[in-house]
Amino acid sequence: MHREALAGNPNPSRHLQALHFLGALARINKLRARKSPPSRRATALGGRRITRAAYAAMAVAAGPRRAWSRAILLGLRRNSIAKPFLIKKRILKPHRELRDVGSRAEELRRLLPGARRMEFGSLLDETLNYIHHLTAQVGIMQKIADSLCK
Amino acid sequence: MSSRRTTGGRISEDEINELISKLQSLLPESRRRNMGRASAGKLLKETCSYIKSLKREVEDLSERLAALMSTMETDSPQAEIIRSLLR
Repeated sequence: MHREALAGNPNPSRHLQALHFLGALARINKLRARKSPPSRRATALGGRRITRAAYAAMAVAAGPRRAWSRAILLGLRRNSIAKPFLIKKRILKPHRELRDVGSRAEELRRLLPGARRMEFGSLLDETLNYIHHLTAQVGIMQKIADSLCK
Repeated sequence: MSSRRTTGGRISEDEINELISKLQSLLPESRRRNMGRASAGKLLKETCSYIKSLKREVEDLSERLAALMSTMETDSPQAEIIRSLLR
């Protein structure tokens, strides 16, 4: 469908991410326009809706092959965005370096959607991809915010 | 990042080292200091901080966008935004 637009584009997933997010913003905007003048509460709700749209756009761009994007696509409400940061007991391991890595890997597993029981190598792989899409999303949103300011 | 391993066995030690290097080059602080290979624990710690700060940025930008959108008229800026992003 977007083949002509994507031809020669070195980063087609970023393109898709931007387009999906823009579409969601347009829908949110239409919803907002129908209601009465915005209260502070409405703006806060709008902010959360936009956050959800941001993660949805990331997940769509990443596709279903990633555990984190699958977790988001399958249940926006169930993933770890809205939940408060869980505090777990640290499991002490004998070797200092192992303990270091172990507890950090656990923290990473909590930060990444769908990574609860992931083994270490896959965790790193997913993390790289997640960061890639997160930074893309920040860039997209900054550009939109800047152009709305003009 | 688009290479997909077979879902059979675990990832090898070499591949883990490669992933760790890629991660290090991605992290802002590690890149600035141009460190030699940092310890895995420190790298993971920085990765967690980085992801948390990126998530906060997404939330802050969402609030900003919500405020901006609540003050703009319905149709006009959207075509301009789309054009600027597709350039």
